[in-house]
Amino acid sequence: MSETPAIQVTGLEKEYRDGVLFKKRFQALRGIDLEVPRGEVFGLLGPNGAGKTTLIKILLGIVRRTGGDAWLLGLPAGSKLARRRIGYLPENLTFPSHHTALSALRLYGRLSFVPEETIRRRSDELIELVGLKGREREHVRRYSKGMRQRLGLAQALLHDPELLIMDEPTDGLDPLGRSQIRQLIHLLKDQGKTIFLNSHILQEVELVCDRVAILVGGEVRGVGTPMELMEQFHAKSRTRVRAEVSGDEAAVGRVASQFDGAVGRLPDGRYEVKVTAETQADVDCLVDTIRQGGLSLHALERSRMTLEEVFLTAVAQPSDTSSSVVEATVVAEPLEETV
Amino acid sequence: MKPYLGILIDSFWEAVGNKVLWAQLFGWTFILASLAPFGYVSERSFELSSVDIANRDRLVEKLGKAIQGRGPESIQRIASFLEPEFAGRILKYEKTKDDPDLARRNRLRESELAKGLNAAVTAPDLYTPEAFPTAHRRQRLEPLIAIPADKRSRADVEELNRQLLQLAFPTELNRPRGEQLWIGYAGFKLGEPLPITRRQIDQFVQPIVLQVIIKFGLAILAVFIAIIVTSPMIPETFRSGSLHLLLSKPISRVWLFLTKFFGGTIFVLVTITYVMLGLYAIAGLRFGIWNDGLLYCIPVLLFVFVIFYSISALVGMAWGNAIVSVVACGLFWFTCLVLGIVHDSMQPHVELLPRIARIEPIGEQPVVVNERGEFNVWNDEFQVWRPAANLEGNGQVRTFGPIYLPDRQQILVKSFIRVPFGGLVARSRKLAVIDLRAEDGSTTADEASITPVAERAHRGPEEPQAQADSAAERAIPGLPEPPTDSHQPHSLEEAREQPLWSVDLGPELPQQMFDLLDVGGDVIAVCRGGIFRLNMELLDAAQATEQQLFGIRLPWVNKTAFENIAPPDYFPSENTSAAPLHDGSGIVVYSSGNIDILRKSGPDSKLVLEKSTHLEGEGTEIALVHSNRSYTVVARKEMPIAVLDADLNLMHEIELENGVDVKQLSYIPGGEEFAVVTHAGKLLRLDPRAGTLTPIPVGDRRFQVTCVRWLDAHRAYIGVRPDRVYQVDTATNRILASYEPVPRLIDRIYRWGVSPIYAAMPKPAALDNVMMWLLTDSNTVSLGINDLQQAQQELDVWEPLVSNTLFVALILGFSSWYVARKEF
Repeated sequence: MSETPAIQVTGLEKEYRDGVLFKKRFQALRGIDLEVPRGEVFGLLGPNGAGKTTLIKILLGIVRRTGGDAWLLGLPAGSKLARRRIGYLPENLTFPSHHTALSALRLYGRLSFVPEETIRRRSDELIELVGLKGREREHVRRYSKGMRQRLGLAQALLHDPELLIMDEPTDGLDPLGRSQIRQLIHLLKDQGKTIFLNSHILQEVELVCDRVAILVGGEVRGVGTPMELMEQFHAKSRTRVRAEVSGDEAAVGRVASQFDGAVGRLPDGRYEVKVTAETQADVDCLVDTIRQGGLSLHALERSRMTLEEVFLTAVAQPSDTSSSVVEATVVAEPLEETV
Repeated sequence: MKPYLGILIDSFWEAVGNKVLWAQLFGWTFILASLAPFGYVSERSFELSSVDIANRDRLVEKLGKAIQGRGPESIQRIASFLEPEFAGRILKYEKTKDDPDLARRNRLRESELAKGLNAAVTAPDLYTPEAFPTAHRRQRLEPLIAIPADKRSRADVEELNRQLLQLAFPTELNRPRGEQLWIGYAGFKLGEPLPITRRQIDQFVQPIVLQVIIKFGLAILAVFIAIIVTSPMIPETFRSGSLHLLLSKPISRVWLFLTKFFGGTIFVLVTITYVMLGLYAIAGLRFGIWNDGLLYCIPVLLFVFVIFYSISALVGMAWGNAIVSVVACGLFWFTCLVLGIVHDSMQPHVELLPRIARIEPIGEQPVVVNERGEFNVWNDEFQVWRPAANLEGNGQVRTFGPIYLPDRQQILVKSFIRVPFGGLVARSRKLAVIDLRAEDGSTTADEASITPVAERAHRGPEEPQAQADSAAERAIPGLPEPPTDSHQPHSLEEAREQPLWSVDLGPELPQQMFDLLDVGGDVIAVCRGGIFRLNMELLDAAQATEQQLFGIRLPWVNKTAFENIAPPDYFPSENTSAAPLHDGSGIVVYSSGNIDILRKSGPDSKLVLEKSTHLEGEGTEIALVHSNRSYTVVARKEMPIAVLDADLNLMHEIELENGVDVKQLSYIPGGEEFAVVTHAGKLLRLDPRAGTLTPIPVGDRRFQVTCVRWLDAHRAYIGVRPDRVYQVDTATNRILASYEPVPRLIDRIYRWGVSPIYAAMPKPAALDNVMMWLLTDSNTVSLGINDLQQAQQELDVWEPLVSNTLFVALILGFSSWYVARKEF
């Protein structure tokens, strides 16, 4: 059993039908393949309408798939047995207004078949863990969004799930709260939990996720560690090079035009040349041309892609170039390199 | 089930946390606290109050004469105790009563009359043997008179004097009850004493009052508040913010929905239970009415809410909007209301009022009176009941008779319009006389009939040809010419509406008539003022009311057509019922709990009291009575049937099922057995020896019998709902003749349109029937309070329960399917 992945999705498809006589059709997922090993923190990225929520709903059994297979912890996705072992923190979580934090935890504990004694014990621990100590007897209608999010996290952890699915977990939290959540995720990872994270905050995903999948238009455009994705999408895009030079303005213009770049004047009178280079030979050629033109080279920078840029690149790509599972291990490199 | 129990518990706390619930409970507490001080104030008293005055004008008239030294000794004696000022006012009124303005100014109110007469009630020396010569013979007065005057307590004096007043004013005063009852508030009397007894309040008023409170307070107001309060529960639950979390839990969606749904009913359950317990306690502690039906109404009211809430939940789940839920509930309620109104307004006219209430064979033809009071004959050509005559009023009418006088070829009948609380009114008190004789006074025995109806009546299926062949032999002897052409209907419409016979106005009936009987050829009217026999010589309409000479009215030669043949001081009470003895030698009378057998005696055939007994009970119960050679049977409302032997000793008390009342009693000719028709439509044979009731087979088992008229030991006409009549041989259970009228348009619309739709639709309002049944323990409701024969509205208890349960099951089933399939 321990060999089975936490999440395994193969050829998953979902078609929504709408309108009179259900004639309108919308393909939300188009044959997704995804595998999340146990103990991993996995991030799911994608623009609005990409199918992220649909994927999570299928994993939780909230909507039915129209094709493919999905397994959680070796159990059919959506089954009651699978749901017993999952903790879920939904986006925009609201609690019935008559609840306090304690009564809400009691209800959701009961719904997860947690014994009363365990509910009482775990409630105290989790209230403290998520930073609601002292406010646990207040009605949730007085809670801020961040407090509700913390309470949501507490209920997701109440029954000690093996897999935690979090939809925008830091939404509404202040920087301190975000940091606490990140620490909590690390703590849960250390405990061997699998965490499936859906977030728009790419920086956060970069910081906490072991691997990331980018979902666009119901298709997976890329899966891997952030570095793998950068490599994957770096190879498909040209490197940008920025040089700071001084000298004759006409010579600067010639260099720029030769490399199809742009020139800008800096406040100290020097010039900034921005060009694109397909290969390292192109960079070397640029340096040679600057020197041959009698110009002085003060600085040379080669920009590397951020995850955001990777994401944007992935989103911008046409669908036929997508859907490759990256297996290669890539050595991590710094994001920026100054020459 | 633990998670679902958790949802229910959570719903309870959700309800407890709802401010509207607390506001509503506070409001109900206020109402209950306001109601709590109400109660009865009861006093044992024989003093008069305004409700004891039955006929103010006649009372004043008699007193006026007595004050002037005229009239009976007893009244003069009473008048001598009146205060001079009061006596003066009476005289003043009497002198000026012909002047409307002065009469209005000087008129004495009932309360003033009662107060004035109380001077006589409290006088210690009112009784003298000279003034009240028959008093010592009265059962109730004898022991009081036997007490020496100086030893009588104040209570004895008041009781004696009140009974003496009753002797003096038998029809002007209502019978003394010995108890006066007020509605009180915190011990203070409110208004005048109640005109009805505690039992009557329990029987008629209490269920209505409780039902009004329950219906409008709880079934409408509380339920709709609850709908508004609970309508957001399902949409909120199925809103994405909280729903996805719930659906991610290892529970069933369907059970989540159902437990959330039933959790929502906790709010209403708390409110209803609180109010009903409060009402139960107030009714019990303050009025002595420990009606457990109030507590049984709690689940019914909850069910009313569940019906509406099922709609609210389905719409709320589909639209996710509480306002849409409330609007949908409102539309649903309105639809049910409209359908209910259409159904309930048509139902009496199709199902209740056309029922045959009485059948009278004239010759071999049945004439009938239906519950509407219409007097009808059968028209064979158009296969309809045709009005025999134009009688008083439309709609709710009580018709006495018809009494057919074969020797005189006349039919006597009289209709009165029913008014609330059992009263009967008419524009004229004159008896309607239908003269069947031809103009020349001859009869047309062999050639004619009122109609060719009876002989051409639709035959039973067994031997149609043989029956048809014998038609000619069944010609009715002694009946007149058929109606003239002008009366002959030419269309179905005419046949339904055109009266067959013209009616002459006969003699005026005595006041407050309870029954009009054919007693061995004598027409006897049992009235409040006595028992009167119609003088047949004065029956002819022209002579009935007055004698005239050369066109000048001669009042001194006026003769009343009705002469009192009751024993001295015999005055039937308001709840009197009577029936002729089997041999026509007298009558049996039920009055105020007494059963009296009165037999004709002497050369003037006056009635003498032969036997009398008193049945245990309050005495105010309405009843039916019948007697044959050896037994007397009394059926009282909501009481067992009492069977008495020839000496009026109680032999058996027989309970009817489900608290059903008896509608008609009759004896089966040629034997000792009686026939009982119940308000539930059963025809039963009562064996007085064994004290048993057994069904009498009549044609189809589905027949619901409305009345029976025996022709001999085995043949009878039976009225069957809605308006059919069959002649049945009860020995062979064969239908000998049938009279099945063609349905009217309204009947067709009701039977094929309104009724099926109503049956299929949910009907929350019809659950009132269930509550009424729980409150009264009876599945019929009387339309009148003093006529046991009047049709009772049957409470359809199970049909609304079944149809509403099916509806809720359907809606919840669909909602469950929806929630299981929906992709949230």
